[in-house]
Order: sequence, then C-alpha cells, then structure tokens
Amino acid sequence: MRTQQSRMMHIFLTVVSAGFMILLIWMLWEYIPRASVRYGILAVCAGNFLMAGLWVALQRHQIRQFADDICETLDAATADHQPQNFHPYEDSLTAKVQGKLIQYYDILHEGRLQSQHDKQTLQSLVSDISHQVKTPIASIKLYTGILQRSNIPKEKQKLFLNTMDAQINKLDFLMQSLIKMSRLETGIFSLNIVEARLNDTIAQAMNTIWTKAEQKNIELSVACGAEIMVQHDPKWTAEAIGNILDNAVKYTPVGGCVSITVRPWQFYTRIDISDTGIGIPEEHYNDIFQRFYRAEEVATEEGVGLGLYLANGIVTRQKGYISVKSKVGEGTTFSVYLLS
Amino acid sequence: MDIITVHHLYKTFGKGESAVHALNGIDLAIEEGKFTAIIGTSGSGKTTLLNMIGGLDTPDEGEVIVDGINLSNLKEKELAVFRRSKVGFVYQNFNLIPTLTVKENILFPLSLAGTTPDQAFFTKIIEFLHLQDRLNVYPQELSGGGQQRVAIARTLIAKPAILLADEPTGNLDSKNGQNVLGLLKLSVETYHQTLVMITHNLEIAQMADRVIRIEDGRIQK
Amino acid sequence: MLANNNLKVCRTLVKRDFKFHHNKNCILVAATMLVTALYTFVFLLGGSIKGAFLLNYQYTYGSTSQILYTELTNQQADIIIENVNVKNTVRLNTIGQLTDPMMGQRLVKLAVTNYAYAETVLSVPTTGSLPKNDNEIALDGFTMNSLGIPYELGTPVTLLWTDLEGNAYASDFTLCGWWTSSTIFTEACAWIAADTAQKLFPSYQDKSSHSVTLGVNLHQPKNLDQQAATILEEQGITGVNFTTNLAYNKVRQEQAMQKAMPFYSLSIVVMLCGCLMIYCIVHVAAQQDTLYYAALKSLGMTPRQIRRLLLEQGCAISFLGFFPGWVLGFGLYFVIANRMILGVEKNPALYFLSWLPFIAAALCTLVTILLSYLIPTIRLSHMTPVQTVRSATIYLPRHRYSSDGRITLVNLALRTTFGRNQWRTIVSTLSLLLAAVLISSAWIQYVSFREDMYLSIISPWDYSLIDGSAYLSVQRYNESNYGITEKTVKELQMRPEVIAVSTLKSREVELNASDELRQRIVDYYNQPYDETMTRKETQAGYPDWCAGVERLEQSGEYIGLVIGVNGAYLQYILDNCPFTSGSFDDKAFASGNYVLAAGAYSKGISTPAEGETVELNGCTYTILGSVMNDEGYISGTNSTQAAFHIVYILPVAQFDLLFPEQAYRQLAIDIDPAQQDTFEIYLDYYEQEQNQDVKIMRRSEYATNFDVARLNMVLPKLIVALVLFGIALINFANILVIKTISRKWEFAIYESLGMTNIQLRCLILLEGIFHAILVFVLLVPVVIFFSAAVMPAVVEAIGSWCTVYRFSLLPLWGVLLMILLLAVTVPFICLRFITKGSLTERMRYIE
Repeated sequence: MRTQQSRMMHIFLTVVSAGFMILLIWMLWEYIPRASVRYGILAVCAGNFLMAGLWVALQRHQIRQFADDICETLDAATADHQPQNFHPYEDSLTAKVQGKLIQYYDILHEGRLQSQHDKQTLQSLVSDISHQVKTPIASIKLYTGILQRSNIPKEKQKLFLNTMDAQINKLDFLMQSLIKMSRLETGIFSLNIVEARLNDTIAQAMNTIWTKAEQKNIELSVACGAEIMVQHDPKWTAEAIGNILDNAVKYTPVGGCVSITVRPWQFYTRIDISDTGIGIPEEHYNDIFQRFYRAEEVATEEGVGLGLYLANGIVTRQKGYISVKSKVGEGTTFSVYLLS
Repeated sequence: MDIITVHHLYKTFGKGESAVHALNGIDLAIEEGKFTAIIGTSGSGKTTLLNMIGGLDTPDEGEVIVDGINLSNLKEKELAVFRRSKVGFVYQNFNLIPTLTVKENILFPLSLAGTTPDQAFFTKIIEFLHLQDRLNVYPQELSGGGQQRVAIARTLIAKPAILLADEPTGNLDSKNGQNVLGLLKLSVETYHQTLVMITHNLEIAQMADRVIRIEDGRIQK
Repeated sequence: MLANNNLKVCRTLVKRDFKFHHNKNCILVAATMLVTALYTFVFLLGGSIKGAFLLNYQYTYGSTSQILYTELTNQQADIIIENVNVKNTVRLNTIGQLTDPMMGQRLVKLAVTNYAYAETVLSVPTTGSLPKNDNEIALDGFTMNSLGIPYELGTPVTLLWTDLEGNAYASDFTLCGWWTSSTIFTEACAWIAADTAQKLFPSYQDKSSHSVTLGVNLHQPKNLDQQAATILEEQGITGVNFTTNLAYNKVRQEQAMQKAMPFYSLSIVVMLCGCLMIYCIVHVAAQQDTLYYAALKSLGMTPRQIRRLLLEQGCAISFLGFFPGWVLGFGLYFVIANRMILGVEKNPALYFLSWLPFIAAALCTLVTILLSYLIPTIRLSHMTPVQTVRSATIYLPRHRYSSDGRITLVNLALRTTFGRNQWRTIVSTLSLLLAAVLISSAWIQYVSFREDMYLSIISPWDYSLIDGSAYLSVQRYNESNYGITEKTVKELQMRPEVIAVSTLKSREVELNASDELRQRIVDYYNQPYDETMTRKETQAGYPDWCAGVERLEQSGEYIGLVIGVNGAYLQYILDNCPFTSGSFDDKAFASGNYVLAAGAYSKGISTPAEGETVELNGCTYTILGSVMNDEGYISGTNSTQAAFHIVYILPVAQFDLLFPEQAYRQLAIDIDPAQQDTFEIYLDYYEQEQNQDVKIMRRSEYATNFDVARLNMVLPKLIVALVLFGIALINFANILVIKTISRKWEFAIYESLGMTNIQLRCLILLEGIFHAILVFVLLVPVVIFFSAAVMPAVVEAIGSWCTVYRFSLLPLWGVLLMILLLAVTVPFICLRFITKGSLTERMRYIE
C-alpha cells in the first residue's frame, strides 16, 4: 500500500514537472522573440533543475548515510561490542536512533546475563539442597539399616530412634525453609503492611528465642518505646527479627548479652539488635545474607543458613533494609530499618 | 567501574577581594550503580561540584570524565544533549518551566530530545508520586512539595545513567520524602543508575553506599 | 548529518509565552506596529514624491504615453502596434482642427472619441461625458473661455474648423461635457462621436489619410529615442515624426530619485531607532529572561533550539504587527500626501499607491525585529547555564564603607537608580536622545525659514496681474492674447489705494548671431561646470535647450526674447541681476538707444557684451551692459524654440515703438497697506468680471504658499520623529513599570519592616526624579550641542535662500517635560497595583 502510494506520488511529480517544462518552452517560443534570450532562459531553467536534482541527491546521500550508520550499530550490537560510529552527544536523528538501539541492546544483554545468572543460581541451589539432604538421609538410612537387624538392645534402639527423629526434624525444617525461600523468590506470599505497634512485634520475636537464650545464660534486653508505630507486616517482620535474634543467640558465647534498641527517625525507624558474639569479618558482610551461608565457627550448631537471607528478603519487601556492623571477637550489631 | 572521574578540579568565582574559591583541587571517582552522598557545610562547594559533573559549568582547571568522555572537550550544544540524555538533575529550586503544565514539564527532556515517552513508565512514576490528578495544572499552583515531586518525575522519565540530586527532600514532609527516597533507590536498583546526592540529612547519608564529605572546596578524608 | 526533529517544543513554548505574558507581548506588538507604520509611511511617501515628479514631467510633455507618433495612417499605426517591444498603445483619430481666430495660437484637434487616449492626455470630461450621440461635442475649459461658450450642458455650439485636406467648415454641435486641465496650454482635443466624424469627414479612415496619432508604451522604457527610431526601422516605416516623454529622460529620472532620497534615507533612521527600541522592550526584563534561558539550557536545550525559539517569537510578533502597522502607515501617508503633493488631478495618495512599499516595509520590520531578538543569542549560545545565570545577576558595585550604616530615603533611591540595570537605562536614553535630536532638527529647520525674506524676494510687489496664458510656469505665454487691457492699466493707476503700477511686455524674435558672438557662446557653454561635466552637459535634461544651442552653433540663428520693463520690474532687474560687463546708466537706458543683454546666471559673458550692437526688428541698439539673468520676475515660459534664448531688456516706451500691438504680459502693483481691504474688494470684483484671461497673484497667497511649503518640507521628518519619540516614551515607561513591579517583594519587605505609606511614596517619587535626572544629564548637553553646532550646517545644506539659522530649544523643553511627567506618574500608578493585597501574600517570594 505504502509503496503503491509513493510510486503514484513519484509519477504525479514527474508528470507535473514535465508539464511545467513544456509550458515554459511553449511560453518562451510564443512570446520571446530573441533566440539568445530563449536559450538563456532555458539554460537557467536547466540549471535550476540541476540544482534541485543535486539537492535531492544530497538528501538521499544523507538518508543512505543514516541507514548505513544504523546498520553498523546493529551489527556491532549483534557482535557484542560497542559501535565505532556512535557520537552520543550529537543532536542528530542518527544519534537519537542509535541511542535507543544501544539502550535496547543493553536491556537484552542484561536479560541474557540475568537468565544465565538465574540458571547458575538454580544449579547451585539444586546442588546445595542435595548436599544438605544427603547427610540426614544417609544418617537415617544408616540407622534404619541398623534397626532392621534384630539383635539390638532396647536402649540402643531408643537412642537410634531419637537420633533418626532429630534428623527427620532437621529435614522437615529444611523443607519448610526451602518452601519459604522459594515463595520469597517467586513472590507468592503477600505482605500485609499495616501501621502496627512495634513493641508487639518485637515481643513476638523474642518469644521464639527466649528458651534458647535462657539455656545459654544470655541476657536479653529491649528498649523500645511503647507508642512507636511502624509500617510493617507484624507476622513476617516478627519472623525476620526472630531469625536475626536466633543468629545473635547462636553466635554469642555463654554469658553474653543480646539487646534490642529502637530509634525512630524521620523517614525510617531503626531497630538495632546487638550481641556480644564472635563477630563477622568485614569481607563477609555481604556473604552473610546469601543462601546457605554458614560461618566456619559454628559448623556444629544447628542451622541451615537461610535465616538472614529470609530476614533480608522480608525487610526489603517492606521497603526497608538491613545493615550490619561488627567487630571480630567483640560483637555484632544488625540494624533493621523499617518505614516509619 | 568508575562512571564519573574528577581530576584536580579548581573553580574560583569573582575577582580580587571578593574572589570565592569554590573548588580547591578535587579528585574523585564515583562507581557505577552506587548511591553516593555528598555532605558538607554550606558554601563548601558541593553544589559547584555537582554542577561540574552535570555539565552545567566548566572548571577553571582540571577535568571531569563521565562515562569515558571528557566534558571539557564537548561544545555547548553537545553538553546540552549530555544534560538531557545522560544526566538527570534535581535542583534545589525545582527549575520548572512556569508556562508549561505539569505533564509537559515532566516530559520536557523527552520533548527536547524529540523522542516519544514510554507510557507505562510514565504512568508508574506518576502514580508513585501521587501526581495523577495534577497533570494539567501549572506549576505555580502547586505547593513546594508538589513542585519538587514534579521535578523528580522529570528527572526520572528519561532514565538517565546518572542522577544528580541537590537536597531533593529539603522541602518535603516525611511521607513524601520517604516516597521520593524510595523511588530514587528503586530506580537506581532497577535500572542500575548511579545516584549522587547532596544532603544535610545524616539519615539519608547513612543510607548511601558511600559518603563524601567536602569542606572548603576539598574532600575530607 | 540529518538534524534532529526536535523543534516542535519551541513552537509550544512560544505559544505559551504569548498566553502567559499578555502585557509584554501587547507592548511589543504595539511597538512593531509603530515601526511598520513608520516604514510604510516613509516608503510610500518616497515613492509618491518620485512618482509626482515624474508625473509633473509627463504633464509638461502633455501625455502619459512614452512615445507619441504623429500623423500616421491607420495602416502604419497597425504595423507599429505589432512590434514586439510595444506593451500597449492608445490611438487617436483626428479629422481636423478648430480654427476660430479667437483661439489664438492654441491647437485644438477635432478628434473621434477615444476614452483610452483621453485618459493619457487627461482630457476626460469632469462634467458631463464623452460624446456618444450624433453632434455632441466635449471641449476643454480654455477653449470654451476663448470662444465664450457658457458652461452649460446642452448648449448649441457653432465651430469653425479645417479638415486634414485644408477645407474649412462651420458645423453645429451640442455641448455634452467639459474639463479643465493644467496640461500644456497650446494643444487640446475636442471630442466628437464616431458617427459625427464619419458624417463630417468620411475619408478619415482611409488608408492614405494621415489622421492617426499613436501613443505607445513599451515594455522596457529605456533609451526611448533610440527605441522609437528602432521600432520605425523594424517595421519599415519612414517619414514619421515622434516625440518621447520627458519623464523617462534619464537625467530627469535621476533628479526625481534625488528628490525622493531624503525620504528613503529616513528609513535608515527608522531602522536604527526601531532596532534599538524593540531591543530595549524585548530585553527590559532581561534578568528574568536570562534566568529562563539558563533554566532551558540546563534542562538540555541546544543553542539551535534556543535560536529557533527566539526566531519564532520574533516572527510571531512581527506578523501580528504587520497589518495594523500597514493600516496606520497608510493613514499617516494619506493625510500627509494630500498636503505635500500638489498639482495632481486625482487623490495623490491613491494615485501613487503600489504594493511594493508595503512589502518592503514588512521585510524591513522583520529584519529589525529579528536583529534585536537574535543578536543576544550570539553571546548566549556559547555560555554554560551557570555562566548565563552569573551574567544576569546584578553587577555589584565596589564595597562601600558607610560611616554608620544608616540609610536615608535619598540614599536608597540613589542606589536603586544608579545601581541596577544601567545598561538598559542608557540604551533607552539613547533612543530618547535620537528622537529628541530629530524633533529638534525638524523644528529648527521649520523656524529657520524666514517668511519676510521669502516674500521680499519672491514677491517684491504686493500684487501682480498676469496674462491668463502665462500664469503657471508650465504655460507658454501666448503673445497674441489680450488679457490685460490698457483700460485695466489706466483704471488701476487711478485707484486711490495704488501707489505704483509697473508693466512688462515680451516678444520673441528671430536673431542672427555674429561669428564672434557664436564662438563666445559656444566656448562659454563648453567650459567645465565642475570636475565631471561642462556647463552644456548639466543641461542634458532639457533637450529643447540643447537643440537651441545646437542650432546657434550650427547656423548662428537663435531666438531673442525682447522684454520691455519699467518701474518695479526695472528695479528688480537692477537689484538682482549682476552685471557681467558694463554698468547701468539711467539716462542712457531711458534714451532708448541702449538695451541690456541678459544671459546665463553664472560667471562669464554668455551674451553680447557692452558696446556691441544688436538689431531688433530693424532697429539697431547698443548694448549698455550684460547681466546674469534672474528670471524670477517673469511668469510663464516661452516657446520650445526659445528654450535657449538671450534676453534683451528695453524700457517699455521703446518696446511699444518696436512692437506697438503687443499686449501686456504682467503688471506689478504696490499699494498703501492701510487701504488693503478696499483694494481687495475691487480686485475680487475685477476677477469675477473677467473670464479666465487674467490671473491675479496676491502677496498673501504667497505667504500662505510659503507657510504650506514650509510645513510640508518638515512634515515627514516631524511625523517620523514624533512617532519614534512615541516609541521611545513607551520604552521608557515600560522600563519604569518593570523596575517598580519587579520589586514588589522588596517593597513588601520595606512595608513589613515599618516603612509608612508616605515614606514609600517619597521613595518612589525620589526614584522617579533621579531617573529623570539621569536621562536629562545624558539628553540636554547632546541636544544643545547638536542644535548649536550641527544644525547651522544642516540649515546651510538645505541651500535655500530664505533660511536663516535660528537657535531654538523648544522641543527639548517639551521632551524633558514629558519625560519628567512619565518618570513621576508611572511609578505612582504602579505603586497602587503592587500595594494591593495582604502583606504576607506579597512577601511570598515566588520566582
């Protein structure tokens, strides 16, 4: 349709120009007596046409140049390197289109990298899971094998069954954590953000680790104004804070203390959870929020390595963030920022 | 990767007795994708530094290199294209065009570049900043906070690689300020932009990946 | 490189600017309108002046056609028409001419009605119409006067006429229309219908009858003589006479252009002023504008887009101002042209109207406006936004060390006037200065014309009676006309009011120059006039005069104009014609054996010298002396053969002896001023009694003419200067307004800190006065210097003999008064506006 229209246009223009030319020639021959003037005028007209033709050729050249530049840019993009002819700060149509093409290329590139990254993550996840699952299952299999043999004393049976129970609990815990994590990743679970009393949330979190702290003789203290209101989902935030507290208790030696301080600021409310634990070296500040990361020192303790990861995810979802400050051997402070 | 590099920057305003040495030899490198905060007392040269990075002014000595291109090699017309495509500047006094409506003001950098706006992105920003029902109003009819939000929307619409903000939350109440900060951070993370912000607010400075302190035109370590 | 298509945003910004800043744009459009009006006025007037001069020459020639071919046959006429160079023609078929003896020397052709031809010779009847029916005739006023035909439609007329073959007839006609025209007196047409012509002279349409006069207009009227001859050659026609229109003579055209030049040169003044003023008005809010552009630049507007923005703004303002400007300019022109251009039949304003000055005015305005908009962009393009902002901020004066930190109102007012935006004030003062200078110049020129000097020279006597055929300078004196009779002279001499009556008679005679005289004259005219040409060449615009000199050169024959004078006329000659040889001897002159010879009005003898003899009509006279001839006292012109002539002056008594039948040409009458009224009554009565044969020139008429001419001379300049002054005042007022209104916030602060209303008013008043003083300081010395030092030279350059430089500062006082008035009232009016509203509202500092 378009080509037909442009072809019609071309034909029309050619016909009209020819018509004008003929008209001009007729007028010249009719009304101008002197031959030299006639030819002069014709020559001038021819010159005009020539100039117009050159003008059109110049425009076509520029358009061809434009098309070539764009193709070169696309080639460079396909071959994965920067195009040579790109002048980003030139105010021309070429630069405009090139800019947009490069933007598009960057988005695709990012997407590709992201999907690669995701594949890798998936792979590592699978391997992590299999690794984690391997040990309890091997243990269970061992004990099952042992129990299948008939001549086992009753006390030993009880011992073995308890151990198996513990291992199954561990598997169960692992599955729960995995489900939570996957929900977090895919975004299925919804956060119900309301303005609620922070005190209650913290109290709920404290409940989960109270016994463990008692056992290790760790002192727990909370300094939080009773009237402080924060935008958060109480259930999930309690879990997040609970996870952090859990870590704090886990990594603090006997007789230490864990304290929670709440400071309301203009935009955010800051919840500091400090402990007198073993501390985290600076180079691991980012690592602790990764999946299945566990510090070497506590390989003996229970835990999967997903607590902080989940906590970070929950807090980030609520448009807050967690930062950490620590001195090795002295203690760690986790600061949770939630929107006021 | 350092997206902004500044070498030996010097800038003096005025002459003789009334000369003001705004910048006294600044060397700086800002990483891509990070949030950098600049703090300092008033008159310490923060705004001048930001102007240099944004191509709004030229230094007396020294050079500013942004994304591999030295700004002193660019002519004014190229700098103009740089300002509307590479950099998004949030001004302290908003700098809105009084004769254009809010919607036209927001889309102004795109109109200058001659490109069409991404409608979905535009709607998203408008909703986030609560400007949906103010689109056909003139800036003078809005409050200070409203104008600031319009200015921020204008900065974000072109998705520039670098966001420069000069006290963006100075005029805003806490709720709007939160929204603005949240939006800026979200934008930075989603689109991998670099944010350089001048602020007095230590809270915000705390949020930054890096804090630079400037006194008397020099960086304090 | 294909430029980016991002200019649409500029259009949007311009439209919004118009919507928001109503007042500023209204003022701009008003200023544009005034500038366009001025340009239109100047160009139209210049064009009309030029056109009027050329028309004048055409009138002298007798037709508006470029070439007149006479005595052609119909066939020859047809052939000529076909020539390619011919644009259009008008044809006249004559069947004969009127030969009534009362008509004297006038040639009145009896011609077939032809409207086209009638138009070209301005012979279209103004009362009645051209003949349509049988026996109708239309005549011109002079003929009717000569033949004593009453001015009534339908009068039966009997005319004697001769046809082309020489047969005389007397035929009856009915008068169906007449006209009066001021074209040459000696030729005219009498129109009859084609049927009547056929009846009277059936063979006028035959091939062989040379009854056609063809008026031809060419496509390219250059070198008319040559082209006329070439056409005849090309068409193969011989033996045909032609004459070419003086108006197309190259020298005449140059002269006409020169006359129009002063008007065109005014346009340069307008351009300068207009540019300055528009620039001022546009940039009066310069600081805000610069900040606005800095904001645009910082948002990423390239210099190309900013240029486009300003260009569109300029164009929009221009186009809005064109049409009203054209209308206003045309209005001004209409009023002035009618006063300035005299002697044109139809309304001169409309007659010379063409579309070219309008287009030229529009273009000039566009250029002016665009210049003032775009010149700042040159500087703006290269600056970064921060540099732009800094350039707009107030220039801070050096630090002051005041004694105790206290400020008085006077101090405050001084700081305001002299501390801010001095550049703008100076530029606006410059425009006021220019306008003031122009007004002063026009005024001084006006008052320098001395009426008494003029009258004493132009009309040395109170009244003059002139023969009806010699009244206008284009009329050729008809020697056989008996307008002024002996009876009239005696009557006048006997009247109690009359002190003296002087008479003048003239006659042309054929003379033969001796070889010596011939040589002397030829040498005289071959002398150089200046570096570029000889005396003869300066007269190139007068082909008849050249023809006369050539005749003298070749054959020694020339025409002598014998003039008989007495009384005041003789006195005039003695007073105004310097002697080039010999001197005046009372008795010798009165004895009647001596004559005075008068020649060209420059050094050297171009006539017979003292002592030589000349033979007039058979009597020999000795030359008493030769003088330079000042012909101001003679009214009317001579025949074309006498274009070059030598004047011989005799006492009237002697003249009467030589030419006893010759009638009076003019009378000069001096009266007792106390009895002027009674004499005027008598003159009016006399004038009514006479038909148009005698014209009376009164001194009071000269006085009115002088006034009118004097006013017309300075009127265009005055109009231009006044309008420019108007624009400058608008500009000044605008600056004052902006100065006050932009400080709304500042005044609110003053008020909030406790400044009372009276103190505020005092402050404003002081500011206004200081502002006015600043303007005065710049204006007064320059204008005084200009009036005292430059104007005398200008007045000299006018070259008029009746101007004496007179120092006058009247316009300066007027200008100063207006400025003071504005400077004091405008801020007060603005104050009312800006103190409206509550204090806190005003203190909210909105950018």
